[in-house]
Amino acid sequence: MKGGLWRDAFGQLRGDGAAMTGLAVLAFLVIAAFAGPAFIGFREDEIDWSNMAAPPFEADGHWLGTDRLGRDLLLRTLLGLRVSLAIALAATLVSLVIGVSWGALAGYLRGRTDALMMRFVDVLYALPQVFFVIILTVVFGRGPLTLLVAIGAFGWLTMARIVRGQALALRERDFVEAAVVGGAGTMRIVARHIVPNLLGPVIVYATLTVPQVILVESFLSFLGIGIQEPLASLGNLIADGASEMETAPWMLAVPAGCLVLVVFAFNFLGDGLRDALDPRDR
Amino acid sequence: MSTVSFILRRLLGAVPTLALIVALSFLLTRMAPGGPFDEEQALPPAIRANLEAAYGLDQPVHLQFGRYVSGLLRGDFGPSFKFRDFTVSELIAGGLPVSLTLGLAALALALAVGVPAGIWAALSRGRAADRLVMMLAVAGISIPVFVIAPLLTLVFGIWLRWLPVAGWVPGRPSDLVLPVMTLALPVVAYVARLTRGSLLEVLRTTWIRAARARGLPARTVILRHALPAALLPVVSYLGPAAAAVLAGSLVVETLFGLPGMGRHLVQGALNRDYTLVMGMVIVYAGLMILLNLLADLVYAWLDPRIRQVRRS
Repeated sequence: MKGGLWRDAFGQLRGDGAAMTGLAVLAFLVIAAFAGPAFIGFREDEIDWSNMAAPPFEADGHWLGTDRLGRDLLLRTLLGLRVSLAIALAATLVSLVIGVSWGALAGYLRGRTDALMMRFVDVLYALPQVFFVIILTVVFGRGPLTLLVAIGAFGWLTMARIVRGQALALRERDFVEAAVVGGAGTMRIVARHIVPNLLGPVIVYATLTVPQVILVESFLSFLGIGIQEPLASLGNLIADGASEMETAPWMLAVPAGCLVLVVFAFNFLGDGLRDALDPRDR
Repeated sequence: MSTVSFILRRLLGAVPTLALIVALSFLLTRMAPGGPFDEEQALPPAIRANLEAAYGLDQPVHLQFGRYVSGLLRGDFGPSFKFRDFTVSELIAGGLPVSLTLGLAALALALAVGVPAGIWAALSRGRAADRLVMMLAVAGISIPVFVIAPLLTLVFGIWLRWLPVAGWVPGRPSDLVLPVMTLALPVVAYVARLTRGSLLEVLRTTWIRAARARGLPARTVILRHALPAALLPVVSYLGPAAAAVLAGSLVVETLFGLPGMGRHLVQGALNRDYTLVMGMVIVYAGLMILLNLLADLVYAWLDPRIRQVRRS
């Protein structure tokens, strides 16, 4: 039964042109971000004194040009993409773990515990999230770790809601009753019987969370309250480029194009996964 | 339930949320390891102690909190630690009109463009116009404000030279065009997509078929019967849209050099100016609560089911 669902989903996904393109683009970008820098003949902080703010394809070895300090733009963009992807994946993982356990437990326990747990989620939901992330970066200092914690602290809310809804329905199913009769404890039932059965929506939502996190991270780094120089992130590269766009538009175009590409790819893949894994819409 | 008591009840309901926001932001900023007086050069201990005494930072936390809250109730957000000559209330009073003009103009523009675009796409479903609108919508949703802003500046400000690149002269509306366009674009895209989707759904309902069967002209059916119902999801989206516009205004105000609250917030965050950041966050939260309330009111006014319940 379960194998059937996954095989069906995979079959449908393979037929979805937009989703497969998204997947291919993502695979390419991930490999480029993590393996690519090794093949570029420059160091991250290497200053090419003879090629400052050089346009793409004109300076030797700098395929996509250099920034105003003569640093290789392709290299910095790839490193920035790596930072953005790493933070996004880690923050999504954090929100995944918290959201799934919170939601599954609330949905399985029902009643007062559920009401209390979800009330907590509602309250956090009412907070203006971006502004609280800013407060957190003010408090804990700017840097990748703060961003990760701050974004993860709010990212799990929607996940918890989705998972709770699913868990409420799942707990009425016969196999859960069988597990209860078999003497399994709450934690075991939630972990072994509830969670595995709601992986579909979880995967879909996680895929759609990643681009959101990338956008929030870049947004903060763009404002100067996220990732700090000399560490590159797509956000602070775009901010750099925006300040030089009159004289060196490629400094904006390269990281901005990269960001838009990554967000597009994740969104297309997520939409495709939703069509494949959510039988209701079929 | 009358409209007035509905509004009053919703406003009262917002009090705990706002109280939580105040308490949380206060606690978080007091947990911070560094202080607002940590400069490159360490201050002599005597000066530091005097500064902390002047701002009440040497008192126990609960007293500080009490003082802050009682100040808030009188509209006093405390002094700014970095803009020594201003109180936070003065900075808010200066920035709020700018940010509000920007945000409301962007929301109005987004509705004025997004709704007709969505209707147009829905009515020409599957044809070129529909595909064009939907393609632009996907682009508008996926491209973040901080990429749109420099791009628009590059095209309209630097290449075409139609509009000022940045700056703010009170009463010069051309300064507002690029910032408002930038803020509105993602919302336009989302509104157009929502309108199209829900209008297509509404047009399939039996009561629209009934209206058509009675021989009403297509225009009347769409504008008078279908549109109010189709706009409901759009109205629900106004709350999140307001949040998006307010967050986007941080970027837009910084980039275009507008003297709004967003720029103060970003500056405050960079300077670790706690009172300034807290004050701005509290005002932003209040604005979002108000806009959500407004959206709820419009929703109730548009939806006959809610209207009837309220009348009876």
